[in-house]
Amino acid sequence: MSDAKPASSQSEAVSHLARVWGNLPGWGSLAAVNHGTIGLRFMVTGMVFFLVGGVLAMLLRTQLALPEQNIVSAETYGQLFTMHGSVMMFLFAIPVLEGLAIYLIPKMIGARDLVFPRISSLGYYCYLFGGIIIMSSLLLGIAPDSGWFMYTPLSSSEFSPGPGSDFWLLGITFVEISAMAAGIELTVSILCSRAKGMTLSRMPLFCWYILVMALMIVFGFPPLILASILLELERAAGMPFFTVAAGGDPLLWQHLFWLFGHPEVYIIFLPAAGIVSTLIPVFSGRPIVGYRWIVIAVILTGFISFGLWVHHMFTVGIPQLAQAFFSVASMLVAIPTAIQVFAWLATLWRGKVDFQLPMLWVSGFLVIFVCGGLTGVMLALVPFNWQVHDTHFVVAHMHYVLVGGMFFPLIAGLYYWLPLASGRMPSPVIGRWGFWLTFGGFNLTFLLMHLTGLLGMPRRVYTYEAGLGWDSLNLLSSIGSFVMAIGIGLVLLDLLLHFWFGQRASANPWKADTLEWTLDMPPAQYNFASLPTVSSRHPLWDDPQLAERIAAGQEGLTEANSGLRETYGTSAISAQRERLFHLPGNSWLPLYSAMTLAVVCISLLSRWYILALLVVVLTIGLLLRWSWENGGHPSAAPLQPSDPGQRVPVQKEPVQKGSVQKGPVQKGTGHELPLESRTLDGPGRWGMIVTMLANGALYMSLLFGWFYLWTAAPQWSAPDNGPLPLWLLLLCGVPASIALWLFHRLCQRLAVGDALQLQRQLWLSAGFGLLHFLMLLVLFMMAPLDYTKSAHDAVLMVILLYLLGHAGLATVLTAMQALRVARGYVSASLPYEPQVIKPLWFYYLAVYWISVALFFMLPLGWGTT
Amino acid sequence: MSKLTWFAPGHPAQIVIGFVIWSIWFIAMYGGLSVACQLAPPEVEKGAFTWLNGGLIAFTLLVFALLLFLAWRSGRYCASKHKESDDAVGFERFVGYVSTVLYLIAAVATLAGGLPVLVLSPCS
Repeated sequence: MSDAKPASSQSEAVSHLARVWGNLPGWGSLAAVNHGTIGLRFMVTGMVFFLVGGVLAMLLRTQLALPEQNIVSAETYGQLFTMHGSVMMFLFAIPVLEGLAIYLIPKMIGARDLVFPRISSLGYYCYLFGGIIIMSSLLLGIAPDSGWFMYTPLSSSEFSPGPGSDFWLLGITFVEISAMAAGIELTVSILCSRAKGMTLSRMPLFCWYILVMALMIVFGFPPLILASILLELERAAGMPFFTVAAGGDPLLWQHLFWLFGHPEVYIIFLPAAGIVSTLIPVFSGRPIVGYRWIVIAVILTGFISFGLWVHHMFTVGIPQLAQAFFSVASMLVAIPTAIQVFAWLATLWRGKVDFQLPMLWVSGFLVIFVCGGLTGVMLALVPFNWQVHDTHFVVAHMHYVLVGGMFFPLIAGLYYWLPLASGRMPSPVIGRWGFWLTFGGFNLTFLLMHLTGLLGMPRRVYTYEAGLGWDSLNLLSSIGSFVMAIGIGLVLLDLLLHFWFGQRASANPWKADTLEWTLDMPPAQYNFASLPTVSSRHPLWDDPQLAERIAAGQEGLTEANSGLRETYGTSAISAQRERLFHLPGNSWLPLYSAMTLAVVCISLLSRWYILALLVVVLTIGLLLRWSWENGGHPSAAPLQPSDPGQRVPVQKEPVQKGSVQKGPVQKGTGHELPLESRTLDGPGRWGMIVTMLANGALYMSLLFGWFYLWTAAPQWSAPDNGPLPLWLLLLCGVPASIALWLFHRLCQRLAVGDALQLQRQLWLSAGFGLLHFLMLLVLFMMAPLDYTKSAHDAVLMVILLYLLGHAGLATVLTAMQALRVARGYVSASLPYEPQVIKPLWFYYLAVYWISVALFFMLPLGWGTT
Repeated sequence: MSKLTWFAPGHPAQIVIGFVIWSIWFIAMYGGLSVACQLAPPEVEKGAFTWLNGGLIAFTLLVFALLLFLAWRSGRYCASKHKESDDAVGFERFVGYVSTVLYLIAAVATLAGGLPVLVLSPCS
């Protein structure tokens, strides 16, 4: 921490920070990468999609209000409920919570931005364009109509020959890029850029929830990405992964979908519960009861939620013992939820509750979510599940869990953080009307739906006969839905009007304890005028002068004298400052990349495969260009005359002489620490490792599919001999192993400052990588795979393409490193980038040898099945 | 904070190891059951008294015992840090506490998940 600064000096420093961190004016704001801007864009876009999804729901309830109505046809009804579910789950719930996390996390952990700002921007544009592509199908009247979980064979070419399923598969996969981007960058940001002193045991609970959610995205989304790719390959190229006659199995889709789908419920619930765990202590005026138990519960949820997926499939004919495993796991997941509910109740009990508007929504959440949780335990019981499967009971349960568990806390959170984002307070009168109408309308709609379900009304029927006992219940349900819609309308109106008519908010209006309330309202793009040090779980309660010290520039990294956007990099465990992260500024590359990806998506939808291939090449070029402008590149953080000739070892404060500096050093400004590109570790390396975890989850899903088809597909058949000679595959692995060994060795040398013949070694490694790639390509070309007739061959085709893609990527990135050495962007003084690529090589080689063993060697023992 | 290896009590990796073990157990149980039922399904008439159920329950008990041992080790470490008060130790105590409870819950979840093996026929 530095000494107090004169006011004029601080004012100059703040102006400089504002210039460095500001967005470009006018259309230039499309190049913005700042987390505040991107987070708000996510949320606003999400709310627009929510309105669309809400209108679709109103149409559904209007159709069902009375028996034997024909307001919409059966076909249109199918499109409406499919799009309602898809929009709410994929275009509203996940993105809006991601947006909230992107907006809040840096502010809560005391950082200036997320560690991959351009990835945030790319994620947003992928979400926006993907969402527009999906929605366009509705406008064109060719929307998917197989339900939001797209079960095969209903969604396959035979029963859905139109482009509806393709819109869903390609559009959702496009949107998932944004979820994966958010998952990776939130994980790395929380682990690597927290304020000094904010150890894991002092981290705000919201950050714990987001950390677990982000990791769940990393592991949970790849199964759906794989499933979507496989189904699109089946529809477009005739590869029969889900066709029984060719050795596939439609149940494989259900497994892969719910491997994603059930964790997704918790991916949505956890951030919402994080909001609740943040708000309850604030409005109770005391710390939360059982901080450690809540952390335990969140981690527990993260794991157990991956062991429940089969409870969505209890009626498909799975052996009893397997059903029992999943039934027990489904009941176990109630334990962490109960821990949280009891901790919240205990906090309310021990505190003095102030029932302001956000707290009202939290109370609504508690009532609705507990009811939804209880029906969830009922559904975990196999016999009961069989009875109500595919009835309105399940629809009611799902809405109690999702609306209660996500929407109510979200609105609570929006009301709570509204003054931070806008500097104004919402209207308590409109807000309360909005709450009570929503709460009442919701319960009228969905409580009664439990009854229609128990009376046997199936879901997804566009109309029903009169006199089955469902008439009045459906009418009341529909009336309730309109009451709810009015309530939500009032809330949105309040949110909109408050920008003009809301009272000016005072500093820290809710008397909260977390760092975001030390900021200006609305916050500056750089967040903190100086980056704080934290010494407790409740920095603002325990250190009331902290906000003043931050604003006065008395904390860390007060200057942007290098002209770069920077934030502190801290150790993941002890939260000690170790280095400076240079964060990229405004960039058009994310927008251009997302646009080209959108063209790829549209080309595939239109079956213009040549164009799609060309644009894929263009996209790869853009992404490689993006990766080029990093580290020591002149547009990033090039070596300066003041840089020492050798790499600076990572060091903790206090700083020693000889650290890398950029520009003149000022004591206490934070520039005594080295930039990450001058060290061996940084967010890029962590990002690569987390990306490889996601990649591994995708690979494991493919492996699961392979074994599943082998053990469960009724018509599975495999040839006696594999399609490729084993010795050739073993031989092909040799150059890849040599390439990794060379790369690993040069990384080790760089780590001790030895860059002798670095460029030559990199070229050598790339050369062996290329040799491996070419050998694999030849093997691929000579493999007699009948991929349209046999699921076995289709899976082998996919795994060979997967390996080829990775081998090519690792080779190209290695060759680029060699070129960067020639340009002086990688050297003994800039040793970071090879450390980023190394995990990719390790991952690839592991996957190659595992694939040879499990996809090519093991089947030799199967014989024909 | 003193330098700890990932396997030592007090290291943050301990927070997730218990449920990583549980996850491996869960996959092995479900996957093993599926593969065994495909390759060598026991006779349905034997009910739960089959070699497959025997193997599954033995595996469950083994994992249960391992998790209990890890919980005990973590708990003992946590108790040893109880009286120290500096920041780093406070963090290690936090990790010790959280991982002890998570090991215990993982052990209970393993046992609970394995119990149906005692009463249900494996492949029907």
